[in-house]
Amino acid sequence: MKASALTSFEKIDDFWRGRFEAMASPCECLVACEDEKLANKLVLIAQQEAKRIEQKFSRYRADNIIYKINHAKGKVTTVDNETADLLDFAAQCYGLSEHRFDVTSGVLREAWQFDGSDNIPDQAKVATVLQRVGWPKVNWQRPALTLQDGMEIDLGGIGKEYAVDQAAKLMKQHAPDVNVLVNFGGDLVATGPRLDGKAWTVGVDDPSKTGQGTVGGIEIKKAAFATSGDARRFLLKDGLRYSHILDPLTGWPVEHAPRSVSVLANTCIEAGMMATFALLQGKNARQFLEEQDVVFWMVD
Amino acid sequence: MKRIITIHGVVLGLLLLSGCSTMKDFSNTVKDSLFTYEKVKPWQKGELAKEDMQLVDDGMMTYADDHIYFSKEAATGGKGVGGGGCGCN
Amino acid sequence: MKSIQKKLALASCTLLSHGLPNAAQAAEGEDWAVDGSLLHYAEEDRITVNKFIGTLVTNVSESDKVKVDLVYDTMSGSTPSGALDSAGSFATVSTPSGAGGFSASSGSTSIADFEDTRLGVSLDWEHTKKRVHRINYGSSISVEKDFTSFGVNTNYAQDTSSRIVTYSAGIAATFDSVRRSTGGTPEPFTEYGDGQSLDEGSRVTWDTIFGVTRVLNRRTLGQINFSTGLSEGYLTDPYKLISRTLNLSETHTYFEDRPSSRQRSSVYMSMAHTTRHDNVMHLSYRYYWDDWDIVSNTIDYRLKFRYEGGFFIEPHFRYYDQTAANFYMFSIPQETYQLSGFPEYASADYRLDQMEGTTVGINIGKTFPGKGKLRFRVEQIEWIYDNSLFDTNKALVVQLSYKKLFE
Repeated sequence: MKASALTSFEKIDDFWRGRFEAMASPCECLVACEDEKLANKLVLIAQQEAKRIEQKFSRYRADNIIYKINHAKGKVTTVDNETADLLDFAAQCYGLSEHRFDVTSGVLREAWQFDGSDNIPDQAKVATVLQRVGWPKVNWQRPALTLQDGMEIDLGGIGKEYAVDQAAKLMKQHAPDVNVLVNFGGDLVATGPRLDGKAWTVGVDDPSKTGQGTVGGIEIKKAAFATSGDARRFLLKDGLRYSHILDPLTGWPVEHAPRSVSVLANTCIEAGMMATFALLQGKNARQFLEEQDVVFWMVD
Repeated sequence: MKRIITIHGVVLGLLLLSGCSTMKDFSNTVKDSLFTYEKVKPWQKGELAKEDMQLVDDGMMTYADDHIYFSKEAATGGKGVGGGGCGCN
Repeated sequence: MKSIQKKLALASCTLLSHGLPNAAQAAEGEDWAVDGSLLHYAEEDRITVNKFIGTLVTNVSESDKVKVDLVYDTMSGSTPSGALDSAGSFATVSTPSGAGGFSASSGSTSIADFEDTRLGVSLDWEHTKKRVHRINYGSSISVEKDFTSFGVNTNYAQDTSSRIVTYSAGIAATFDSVRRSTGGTPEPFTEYGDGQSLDEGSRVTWDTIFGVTRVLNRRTLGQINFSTGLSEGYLTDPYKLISRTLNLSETHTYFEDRPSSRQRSSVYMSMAHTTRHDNVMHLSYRYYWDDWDIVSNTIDYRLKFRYEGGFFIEPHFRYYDQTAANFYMFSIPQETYQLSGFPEYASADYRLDQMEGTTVGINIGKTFPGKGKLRFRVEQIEWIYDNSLFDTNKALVVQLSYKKLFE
């Protein structure tokens, strides 16, 4: 796997910043050390890992384990340890989210296309597709996975945050004394403070002005931060905004979902899942987050 | 057995105390090290993974010391086996 | 809704926990590393040793690591022979250097001139299976004018599933060949200067070790090892002498004799701890005993202060004591000799005497993260002997080392 060139690599203040594209998002890694060569090496390690995970779990490829799983036509697929770990995690998330988070709900995209238009599908269409959704219909006995023909596993909801934590982990293994901040498209983790013990300052995106404004900033030293929201994908009809967050039990968008939820946690995957679970709660998002006793930001 | 309080003994005292500026520091260190037990989770192993925390963190110095003391004292070993002998004892 | 935060946190960490480094292993980021060191050891008025040590470590594959060590020593100076002074009775004598004799100027037999060089090589292969099983195979060779050694060892270590505890066991066999630099070994208790010589001596040593290493808390690692070993064969020092004094002017000096078997055991405890001030402390204690009736205690303490930019300062203290071997004696008592002749075994080698030793040192250096480590240390060692011709021995140690990592 050749590592392609970084989009940029430069010294900012007391840390090095490397940028690249991966997982259809702008990615950047901040490395708190003096040594340019080491910082460059660490960013390349992160980029390599992002590419590896993207290629391994992408829905759009015909040569990876996801393709094998989704085209097994009802036969058993034996998966490797990493895929098994992710499936175990998905199973746990299904339970923890009261069945709202479901990695088999990806097929619902056949009914819905969130392009900002007013193309709402009819109930019959949704009901047909819904028959191929449901984690209980999956036969998962590690390491053997059996999917009914027509069902699909989509790890898109977990992949990016997982990649952030993995990249940070590999960078830490390579240089245990160097702290980094890994940010893939807004989902990030910092493994420790900058040189001199300073905190990293992170701007929180304003969902109504995506990419142009921030609602504020936070300072983190060793924490993860992830945002879930519908800022870029939605349908608008009759003045009603249909979020791209679909309820796997009904097949329809979650009602009154907040525009965005951001959560602070120890790992990016925990932060990301908590934010996603909150969104799936729809109008109960705020109450849910308050009961979880986590640090969060929400934009209605 | 002859026991002489040499300058080394004074330095020892200074060393033991150098890491601890007060008695409280000293008792904290004892408590934190030998009397605190926890089932450390993999993601909590950051400190333990650092090179300084290896039991033998500098193989070069350990090797040199082992040979010096092997050739001047009767007691040997304890840390491991093998590693090459020499004619010095 | 009940809080699911803890369960989600646990599930997240379980997902990410595979592949993190074991506490007992260093992070393996680099492909290979070279470490070089120069050591100078100088005793006050005695021996001086200069060592050059080189180590190469490389990951030949994901699960295999190979280490090669090279040592080159040069030794010179003089060392106590164990004999009591007998001024002027010998003109020249064969010594380790094979060229000269006892210090001709003083005409003393109690100090022997000494000169030698040594070359040692060792090889070690570590194979890891499923990240929790580690097996080591090692071998080493050491060669000098009057001593050759060949050894093999193997060690097995296994981590528990939580990687909190590691159990290890090892065994080693060493084969040594000992002789005077002029050839052969002396017949015990024959008079020095008689020139009689026996074949070269050989011995075999078996050592075993069992150990448990445990993560006590997130800032402390502890280890305890039980070792035992047996040496059989020629265990005498072919140069060492022991005297018998009849009266003020008549001294007879003989070659010493030691048992042909020695069984050793030790319990060794060691700990590494990061304090609340972020300093790293290393403390160890060893209790040793053998069937020559030597019992010994060793305490070693280091505290590393770490600073910006990877600098560190590490003071070091070591205390050592031992009882005398049961056949150690200052000289052969005349009364005993008259009654029953030579004892079964006797040695006046100061290294078997009851003694205490203290070491004080300081180690300073700089770590270059991902690139290497430079360190320099100075130590002063002082040994005090209870019942030997020379009361003390002082030594200065200076060592400079540099490790470089490569991709």
